[in-house]
Amino acid sequence: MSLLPLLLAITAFLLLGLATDAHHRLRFGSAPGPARRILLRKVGWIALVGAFVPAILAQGWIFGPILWSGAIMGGAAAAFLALNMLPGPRH
Amino acid sequence: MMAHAGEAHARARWARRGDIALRIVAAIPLGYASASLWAMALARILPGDRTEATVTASLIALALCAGAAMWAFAARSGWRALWTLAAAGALAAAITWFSVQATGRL
Amino acid sequence: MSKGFRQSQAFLHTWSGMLLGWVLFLVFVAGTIAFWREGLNRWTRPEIARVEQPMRVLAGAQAFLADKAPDAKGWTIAVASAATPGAQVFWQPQPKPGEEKGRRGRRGRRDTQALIGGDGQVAHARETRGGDFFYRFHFDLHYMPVIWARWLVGFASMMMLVAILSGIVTHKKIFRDFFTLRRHRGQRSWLDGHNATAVLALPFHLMITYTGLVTLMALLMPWAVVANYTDERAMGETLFPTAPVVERTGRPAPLVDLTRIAADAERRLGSPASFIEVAEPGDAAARITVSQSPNATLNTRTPRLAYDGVTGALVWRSPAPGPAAETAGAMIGLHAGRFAGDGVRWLYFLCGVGGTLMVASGLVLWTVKRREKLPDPARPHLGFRIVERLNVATIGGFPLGVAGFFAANRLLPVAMAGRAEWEVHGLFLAWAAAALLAFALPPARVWPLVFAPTGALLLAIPVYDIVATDRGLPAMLMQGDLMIAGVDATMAVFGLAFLMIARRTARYRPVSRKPRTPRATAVRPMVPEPAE
Repeated sequence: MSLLPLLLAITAFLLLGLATDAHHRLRFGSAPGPARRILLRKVGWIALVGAFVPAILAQGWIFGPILWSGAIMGGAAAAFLALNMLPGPRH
Repeated sequence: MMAHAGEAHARARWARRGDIALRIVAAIPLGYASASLWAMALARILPGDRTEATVTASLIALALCAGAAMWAFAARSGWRALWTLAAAGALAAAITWFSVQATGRL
Repeated sequence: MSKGFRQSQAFLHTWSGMLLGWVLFLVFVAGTIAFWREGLNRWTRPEIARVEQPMRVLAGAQAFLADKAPDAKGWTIAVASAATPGAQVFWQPQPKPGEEKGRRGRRGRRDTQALIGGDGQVAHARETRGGDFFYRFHFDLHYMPVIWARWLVGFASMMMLVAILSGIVTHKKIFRDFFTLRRHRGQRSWLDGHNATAVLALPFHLMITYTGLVTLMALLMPWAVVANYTDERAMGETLFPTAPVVERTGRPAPLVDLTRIAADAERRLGSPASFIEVAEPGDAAARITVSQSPNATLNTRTPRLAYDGVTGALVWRSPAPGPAAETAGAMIGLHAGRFAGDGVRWLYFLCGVGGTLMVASGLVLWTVKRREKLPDPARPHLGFRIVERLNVATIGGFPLGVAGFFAANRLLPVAMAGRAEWEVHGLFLAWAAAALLAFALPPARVWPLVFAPTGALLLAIPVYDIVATDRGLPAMLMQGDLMIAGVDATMAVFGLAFLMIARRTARYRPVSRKPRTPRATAVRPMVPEPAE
């Protein structure tokens, strides 16, 4: 349960990152269409905010928010590194 | 003609520096003073236990300091920054003064 | 959001961040290191073995104090744990008749404190300030009265808070830009790095800055107290409640066994004790006050219990604080991170490193951005030259000083007088040498000259530990002492990192530009938004 917020946050930031032109182009060969961009952002934000729930369930109301903050920072870092450092497919 | 353009340029530069100077005065000494006065006013008017109100007022006042600095630079002009923050501080001072007159201090 | 507003906040962000940015760099470096305060307290005293039985240490502490200061006015025992080098004990002698009450002893008096080690005996370790130095330095600085230092750090922290808030407001596409990392693009790359480290740990940066101000709140914002109280001590009594003071009776009576009291307190509070204070030990009126460890709660102002010193009966329990006091205490707890287990502590540390990089990259970004706009790059204006040299002197020099401190801890003779202070002087001497270079030589040449020795020292120290002490990395791993091993490993990693940075800065060749001819422009444009 304590790991779930982190996994959700990584997913969230990967989706939010892929919603940007540069990263979508790198991974998929073209910029995202408007519908896909909205979908990626929506799901990304839902995952980010939703990560709050397992955090509270895991650590209670005092330490839960701390776990969530840590998870979103860790998730952002992991996604940032993955998006910028992992080589893209050849198009 | 060229001399006038040069002078206008220099005047504009000094006007801008003056404006920034006013904003710095608004942000730092005046901003801190206003936030401190609001710490006092909030400590008086927040309901409940006096120690609790004092702590809450102090926590809020720290944020007000930062807010005052941001306002000092966002305001339309340096003078506007000064008088608005001064007025806010004066209001807080009045609230504090009347409250202390009415119920005194512990 | 209007363009004018965003521009005004961009201007504010730059200056609010930069003017005391060098002070903030010091605070971030020292504060980040201070998250490992207790671990460093142990690492800097290699003579002391790990504490295995805290209660044995406590019993030894009581025996030592009963022997050394049986008629003291008070004893204080910082209870040992596996994380600490031992139990730090202090005692306060009875005031002589006619001597005025008040003035606490000079901080750091050596004749009324001792360290009790894992075996319950006085520990003989090299004199050092250990991890506590970094903790103290990040708000008390050094070589100056602490009140001045706290005002300076407090003021800088408020400027930091303004920089963070204005930075958020001014950044147009804060989330989209977050993922952008343009490499080898000069100013753009520095901007991306600054944005990344800032936005990545933004919750942490906001939290640590505001809560840092809260820790200094009594000094920086005392006015609310003035509004409500004629005597500030009345407020202090509510915020920091204590059991009623005892009067010495003059009738001797043996003090109850402190380990029994500690066990009872742990049972009642649900977690171990951290501080035990004994008032009038050996007297019939003796009173023992036990504070719960802040490791178990968020609020650093932990519950306290008071016991009768002769019978061991519980006589007082601290009242629960109100919500505002609890919130303020929790904020201080968030800042200090004492509640953090190893995992969260690593998170704090990494965020602190991120914050340090944020401050450093912001300071460097200022010069990189302006260098590209200089009319004549070979002859920059005075402000630029000052900032550039302060950057090298601080961002390059202070880490060298820190490496020097750790090296001095290992290399200064153990029996040297004033050893602890000389470790600190070592830090400042190394820093001063770097600063001298920064002001004497062209800045671009000084970066590698200071980063390389920093890296070399930080790599050399773990090697020294393996070769010249019994606390080398392999030995500590075998013993399962992950804290000491972790310090050596982290030092080695940072050493490598500094060497890599030194190589990068040594190889850097800026693109040379012809000096631009000055053109007459109507009005100088305002500084462009940082997000551009």
